[in-house]
Amino acid sequence: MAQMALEGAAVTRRRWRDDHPILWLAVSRTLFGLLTLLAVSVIVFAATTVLPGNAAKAILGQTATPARVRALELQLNLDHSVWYQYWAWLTGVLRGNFGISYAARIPAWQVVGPRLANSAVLVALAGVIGTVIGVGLGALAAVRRGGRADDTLAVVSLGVTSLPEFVVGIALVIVFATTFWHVLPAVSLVPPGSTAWENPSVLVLPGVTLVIVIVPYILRMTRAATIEALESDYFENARLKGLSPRRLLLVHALPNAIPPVVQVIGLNLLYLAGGIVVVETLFAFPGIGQGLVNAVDDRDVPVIQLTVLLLAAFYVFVNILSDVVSLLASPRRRLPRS
Amino acid sequence: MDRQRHLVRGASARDRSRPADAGQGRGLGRREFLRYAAAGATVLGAGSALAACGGSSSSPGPGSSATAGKPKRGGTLTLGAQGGASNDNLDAHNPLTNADYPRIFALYSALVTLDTNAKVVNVLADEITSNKDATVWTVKIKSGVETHKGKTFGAKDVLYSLRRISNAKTPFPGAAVLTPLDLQNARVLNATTLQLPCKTPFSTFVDSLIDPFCLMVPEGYDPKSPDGTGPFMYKSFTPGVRSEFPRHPNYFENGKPYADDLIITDIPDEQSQVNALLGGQVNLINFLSSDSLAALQNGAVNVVISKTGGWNPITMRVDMAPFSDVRVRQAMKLIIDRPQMLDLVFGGHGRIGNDVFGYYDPLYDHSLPQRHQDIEQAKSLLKAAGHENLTVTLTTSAGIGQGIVKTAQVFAQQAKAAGVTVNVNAVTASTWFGQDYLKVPFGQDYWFYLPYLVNVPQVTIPGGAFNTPHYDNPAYTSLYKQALATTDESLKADLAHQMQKIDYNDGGLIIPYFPPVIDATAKNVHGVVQSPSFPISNYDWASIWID
Repeated sequence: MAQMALEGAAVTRRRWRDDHPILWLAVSRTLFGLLTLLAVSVIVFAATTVLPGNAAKAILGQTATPARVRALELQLNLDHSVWYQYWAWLTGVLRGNFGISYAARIPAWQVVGPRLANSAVLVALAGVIGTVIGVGLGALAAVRRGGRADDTLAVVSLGVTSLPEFVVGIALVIVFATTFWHVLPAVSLVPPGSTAWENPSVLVLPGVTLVIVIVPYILRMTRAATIEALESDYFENARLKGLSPRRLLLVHALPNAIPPVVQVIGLNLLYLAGGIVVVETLFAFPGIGQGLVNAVDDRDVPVIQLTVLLLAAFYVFVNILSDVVSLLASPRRRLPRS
Repeated sequence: MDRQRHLVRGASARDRSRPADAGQGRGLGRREFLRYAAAGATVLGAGSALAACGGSSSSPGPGSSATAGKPKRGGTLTLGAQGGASNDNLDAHNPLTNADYPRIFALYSALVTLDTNAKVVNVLADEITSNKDATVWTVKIKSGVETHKGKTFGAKDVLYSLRRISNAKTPFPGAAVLTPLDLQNARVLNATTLQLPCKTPFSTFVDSLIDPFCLMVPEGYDPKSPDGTGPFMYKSFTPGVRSEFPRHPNYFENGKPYADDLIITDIPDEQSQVNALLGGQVNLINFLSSDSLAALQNGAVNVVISKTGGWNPITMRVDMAPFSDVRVRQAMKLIIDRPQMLDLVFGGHGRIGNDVFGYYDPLYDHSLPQRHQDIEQAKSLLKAAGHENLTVTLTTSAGIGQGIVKTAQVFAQQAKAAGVTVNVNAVTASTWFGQDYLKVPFGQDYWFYLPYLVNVPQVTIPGGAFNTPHYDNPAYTSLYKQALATTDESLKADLAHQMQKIDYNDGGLIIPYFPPVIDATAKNVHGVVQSPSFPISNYDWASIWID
């Protein structure tokens, strides 16, 4: 009797995790994610202190005489030890205060916020459009595999992938902004106080550049995963039952292709968040990548920490989300392990 | 019967592994999830598509290529400025980034400035005179000058500005050229006249005032809410991004400025600057390298290439081996093929140098023999100094200025012929200014044009704020002090020539060229002329017009 009760209890304990595998995944990953953010903030802070020079010297540049550097250091509280500076920053963050930018002398959030909004719009736009096009073309290539459409897509996507993104960007600028036509802005001049989506024309060329960069990956992964689904037994079974091609593709093949495709989409979103720097530089797009590069140059620690924290949080979130979505789309993996 | 029912209903253990049924009744099933996801994606996609479906912003075309006639009123000048960053600021006495200069020249006026021929001309000043031995200066300014906020600008504001620059606790960079002034005992004689006694004779006072760090501000000046006497006034400013300055209606020069508005946008990348001009988003860009000339000369734009008096030295610390030996310094100067360097770095634009600065100064000695490359002489000098097959590290940074790193690379190439190995170590701007500037034995620097005797105390006299060669030559310093003490122009010239001979033979500065300043404007922007120093007509915003 006691034996059975013990076993029962053990089974019950295990069963919550297995009853709610998705919830468990999300919660545990989020907790680990928070730990990751903390570790990242420590590492990045340490890295900026190791760099030669400090914010005071970086800001004053050539005019940095010892007297002026000291005066600025006092103003920026740089005369304390690095431990104290980090602790002050951390306790501030926990209270919601992200500090004052050393270079611009306004709250770090005011410096980063607008840039974050602009980059987020660009990433979301490029991500969604790229996904739709990539999945669509990938499915098409899978269905017509071996045919002319498939071969053309393979060659074109390989060629486009091998081009660096600034080449793609410059080509677009030449065609649409400066040399052939003058229909789109070459440089993303967004008046301060307004945002990128209030000036939608500045989103087009950078967005198209990013879409061109990520579509080939999504296309190829979708194609491979869809082909695997198309050549499986259950698909053959469905086809033999006489279902329409559209239903076959959308209901029986694609849903099984989702997990690997979602992983690739997640990876591409992460790439966009980081690789967006090159595109932002080329178009002078007022985004977070460019902002981070400037902040490192200025040794502007509050802005660096805030930006890195946001990017790391985005990475953690996208990772969790793509794993959750994969799990939701693969019921097989949700079953209790017996 | 029962068995059949089991098979049909799927209640056996095997059927628990059928994917389609898993999750049913336990929360989100796959079907539900896919349905919701599809709906969500459609909404997102529609939303972003709508966002992207805006019309393109109206961008002015390059305009007709009208010839420059009479200046016209109206229009907006938009500058795509090089070199801005998040530490951009509008403090008249504290320009930190390259994008600060066009802004402060718009908001504030100097007492005197340089015209297109590098002559000193009055701006706010009416007359500046001194006594016989240059120990008391009298500054008389124009009357009726109004600031943007409506205050009258007078002699007391000049004194306020000079005191603010030289403030003893944390002096601004301009203090370096005003050291002989005795500001404690200065006296405002009347509304427009100021008397300035000097602690030591100061014959170069007027020339010192053209230094861009000596702009004038009214008493009670607050950089957060800037007031000034410049042709344009403050409206809005976001550091690292953009500023907007509308026209000052009561600018002291009647009829000017011509334009109604001046918008300065930071564009850190040169390619983007060029694209912005060609695409019609801005109508002026500055500080370009010769690499962009091909793209610009094909477009409907004007290119202005100025032969300025700015100089980019390769600096050698005379207090450290091997450069403490004058023969090594002379050998380094003889290694360079100057015309070739100018060709490779600036496409042949600009002017070759002769290891002496202050090119446009009447005091510049044009009779010093032009140095040419002489590898044999260089080799024998190095041998005599015991430094055959010398190896040195040249520390440099792209953040120093246009063409700097390329110059270092060309120098390294040319040095091989003399058996000298130069290792070019290019670091980032923050590393350079953080730990290397003024400390490395072999490096580079960047100067805009200054008259000779105004540049000297900053670079070749001990205590100079930018004395990169750590030069300390008592004979040279004594000549400088004598030059400061005399108002006799021919005596001054003689002393300056003697000093320049020392720079030429003994100094730690290699000046291979005077770089060009390359700007470009839309075809309908006029009034941009050759500049002796800064881009865009030395940022003479008041005299530029659009038609």
